[in-house]
Amino acid sequence: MNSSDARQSFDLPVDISAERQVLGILIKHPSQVDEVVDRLRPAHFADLGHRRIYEIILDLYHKQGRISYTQVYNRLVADGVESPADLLIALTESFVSLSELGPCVESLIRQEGLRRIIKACDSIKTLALDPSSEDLAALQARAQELIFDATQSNGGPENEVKNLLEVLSTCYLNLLRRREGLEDAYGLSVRFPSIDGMTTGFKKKDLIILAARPSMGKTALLLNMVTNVAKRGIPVLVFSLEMDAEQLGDRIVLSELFTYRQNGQPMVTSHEYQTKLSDEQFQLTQKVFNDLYSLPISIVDKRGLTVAEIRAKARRCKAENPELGLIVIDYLQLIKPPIQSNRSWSLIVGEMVRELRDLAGELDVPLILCSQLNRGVESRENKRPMMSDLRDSGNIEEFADVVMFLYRDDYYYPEVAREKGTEGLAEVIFAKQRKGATGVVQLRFVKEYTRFIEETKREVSHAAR
Amino acid sequence: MPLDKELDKTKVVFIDTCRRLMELGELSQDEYLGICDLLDRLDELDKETFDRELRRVSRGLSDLIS
Repeated sequence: MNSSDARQSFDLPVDISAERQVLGILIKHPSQVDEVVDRLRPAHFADLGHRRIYEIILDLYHKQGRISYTQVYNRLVADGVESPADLLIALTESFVSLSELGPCVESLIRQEGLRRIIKACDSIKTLALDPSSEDLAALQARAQELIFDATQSNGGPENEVKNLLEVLSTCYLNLLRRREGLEDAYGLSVRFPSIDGMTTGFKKKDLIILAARPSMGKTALLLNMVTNVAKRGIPVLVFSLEMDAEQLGDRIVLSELFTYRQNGQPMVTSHEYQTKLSDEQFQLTQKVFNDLYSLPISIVDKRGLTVAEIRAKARRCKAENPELGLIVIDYLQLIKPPIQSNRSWSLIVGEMVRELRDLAGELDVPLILCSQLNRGVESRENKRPMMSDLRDSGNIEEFADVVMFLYRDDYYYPEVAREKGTEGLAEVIFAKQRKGATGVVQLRFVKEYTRFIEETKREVSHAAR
Repeated sequence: MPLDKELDKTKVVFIDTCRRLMELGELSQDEYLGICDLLDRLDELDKETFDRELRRVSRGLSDLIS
């Protein structure tokens, strides 16, 4: 292999001089390999001869062998590289001092990043021009995926291996921050004290399942949490596969209108909002609109999205809003599954959930996924959902970090609830928390306003019923 | 070019030459490997030790150089 022959296309950005400098320094000063090993991958070297030399250096480094011109020379000979001496002589003359290493490494990372972008563009062009390509939406999703991959951080395997000292240092800093009461020391607060108390905030990278039978108020609770988060200036991305954006908008407005009261009564009823408002009510509603306009909530209300399309849209949103703090999806059973008829529904759903969990990890945000429960709940006397109610829909609970069930007694037993005074009470059952306790908290559901409010009594027992 | 860079360049040329000598049958593989090892330890050896070691590894090459 000849260096110049082996070199990749010169249409692509390369810095051959920096490649030589880095290799020359590493062979002359092997201790410097420590400085670059977690930042440079062989792919950072465009010249294939240089790439091979770097691979040899890494191999010698990992096997704790001596890194020297003779060792590298013999390995190149064994590989059948033509004129290995010419390759190496160019390296001996390549650098003046050690201080060149840092800038050269930066240059290689930059050039390799540019090459990846160009290659992604080439791949997209090829895909787009292929007459047998998939449908447009799938093509767009694939294109976004390619661009996203090409624009990920440039380093190599850095941060993949962490030693205990690093890990414990981070844990200790977090401990100090919590002790000082710093808000960002916790997970994402949804401003329902009872829920936040159970979770200490939803953690980044976590997949949170919010599951219930229909009409329990899943979407309402989800939107309440979304609004609460967005009110603190944290961007939220909502995938609404059932309701369109306007329906969601109306729900958010209505839910906010509940907070404006006169003599203990809401100033605008749901019915009035849906029909006609007095001048005073209209002004108040306008104020609610004005307060909500600025909230950083993005809504995707397209039906029949696949996980790949959700992933592509979420990646784009994250790229545009690096501060994106929460993703919610309403709801799992409306996500279009991939066409794989030979696999069981349970496996397909499990795979989709796993991919969504990976997405939460990749984008470093909590992801709340709503899910329907199967009808098995209805056949029991105690209709509170259990983990087993999720199992028919794939091993959702296996991949989830938090599983929350929403349950309202008054939905099934309205008379009993009226007698017991538990009308409107909703239970949020924490059936699984990887990083916390399980338990039950109560909220009050104001159905007319699709609004959940905090209930003073926090803990209830399943045995109560 | 600074002296140490010149030395590195010389090492590469030298080892390249030795490999060619091995291919021509002028040096055995053991001699060649011994020379490689000696070159790797060059910085640790003074001239007399190097000459002695080289003579031990390869009498023929030592005679050629001197």
